[in-house]
Amino acid sequence: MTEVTAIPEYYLTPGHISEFASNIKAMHGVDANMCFQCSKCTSGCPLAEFMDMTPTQVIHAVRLGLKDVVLNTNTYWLCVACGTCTGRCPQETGLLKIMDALANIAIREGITPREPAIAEFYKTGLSNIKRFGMMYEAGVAGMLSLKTGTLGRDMGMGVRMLQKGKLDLVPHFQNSGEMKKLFKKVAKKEQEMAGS
Amino acid sequence: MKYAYYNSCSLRSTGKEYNNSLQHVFKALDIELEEPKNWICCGSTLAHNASVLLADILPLKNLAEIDKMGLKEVMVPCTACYNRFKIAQSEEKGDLRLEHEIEAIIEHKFERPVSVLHPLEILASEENLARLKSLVKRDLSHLKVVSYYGCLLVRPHKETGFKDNPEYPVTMDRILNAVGIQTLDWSHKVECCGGSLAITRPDAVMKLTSKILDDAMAVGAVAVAVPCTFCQLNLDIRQEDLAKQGKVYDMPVYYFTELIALALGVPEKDLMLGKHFVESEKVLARTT
Repeated sequence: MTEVTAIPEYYLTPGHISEFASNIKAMHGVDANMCFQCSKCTSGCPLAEFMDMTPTQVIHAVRLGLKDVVLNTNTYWLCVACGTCTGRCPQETGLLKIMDALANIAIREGITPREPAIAEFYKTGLSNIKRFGMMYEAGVAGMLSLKTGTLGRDMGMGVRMLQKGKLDLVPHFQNSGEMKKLFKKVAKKEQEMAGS
Repeated sequence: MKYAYYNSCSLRSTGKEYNNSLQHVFKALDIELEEPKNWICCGSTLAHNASVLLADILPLKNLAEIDKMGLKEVMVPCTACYNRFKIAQSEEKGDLRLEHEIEAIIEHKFERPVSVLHPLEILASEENLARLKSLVKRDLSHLKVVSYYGCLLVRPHKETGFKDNPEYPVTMDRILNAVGIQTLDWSHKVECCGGSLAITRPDAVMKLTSKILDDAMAVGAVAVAVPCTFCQLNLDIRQEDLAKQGKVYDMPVYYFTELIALALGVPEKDLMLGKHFVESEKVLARTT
């Protein structure tokens, strides 16, 4: 029998606002302190059963300022931005934006992702659109399979899609000069914002 | 009548048949579509994870190009793009400082916003519904389909503003009914299919897609109609894998525009139904 470690209990005192929640509010305009823990977000979340921490727990942890705990969950990586939580939230808390904020912070601070394949997918995809100006699906899928060692598993799906003419083997460039310029300007702006 | 047409990444690859059928439908309605030359990827599922600023910049840069074309309405058929365009617009308008910074980066100032429309919103106008009805050439009244809207079109409703009920939309049903196709009531209209995890967490995606297909089967549907390239691919290609687990559905997944085009008499050979993984032509043949 595995030993059950005691789960620490956390309490919020009235008026308590964590630095972590404040930073997210300042950067992303979304206030975790609006949450009153009704759990409607979690009950509607299609991916909740696969998550380390439920969306309701994540938002509570953000309010408590448990930054390391939250950033080391797989929850925000598994979020597919379907908007169910945000659409149904009676407090209009905007959990969707909190999930984005957590991924943004984790990437910036170099946190090792609990869902490496998903994190790698976003990273590979983004560098792909930066290079070509549009999505080159076959390139992203191939690159990802190589990096995550799932080439064998994904090959079948890739072949099926190629047979149906749903993937192009050759990348197309689409206004890629403009795309690179925008990436550069955004990176510069974000550095300024982080420094201020 | 003319709209700018954001004919984006997925409509040129995985969703070629969506683009093709959509062109047929709008041609039949005599509505002109003009593609912006300088479009770029809107960053949809990718950018917001790494940089929320970039996620706003990419769609707004595209809208600036459309504004420069002198057009004030853009049709965006990919629901992932539609979702990001709407979110970017609402975030820009919600924050004056952000608005100023975004306008400096994209080097454009909007005098008034470009109106972002999904083809469903355009086709559902009373005028277009009546025109569609008058153009029907083929009887498809034996088809019983479920309209699957997915998530990105309807949520978060405050941002996307999709002109329908976000929990139980009926827009697609009304359009399909107008061309003589029956639609069924069911409970999974807006449940997410897990699209963006398609290649990274197939286990999760298969579970979500099988729940959706189970409900479609339970109400007696012969096919699913979708308005989204992610949903189409996901619900279609995964059926072979689900069959290996003993869950046999054999449920064709059509773009709603393919069904409309068929009802308007566009011959099957002019559509790209062969690109579907689940054979979709046999349910079209009248069985009764």
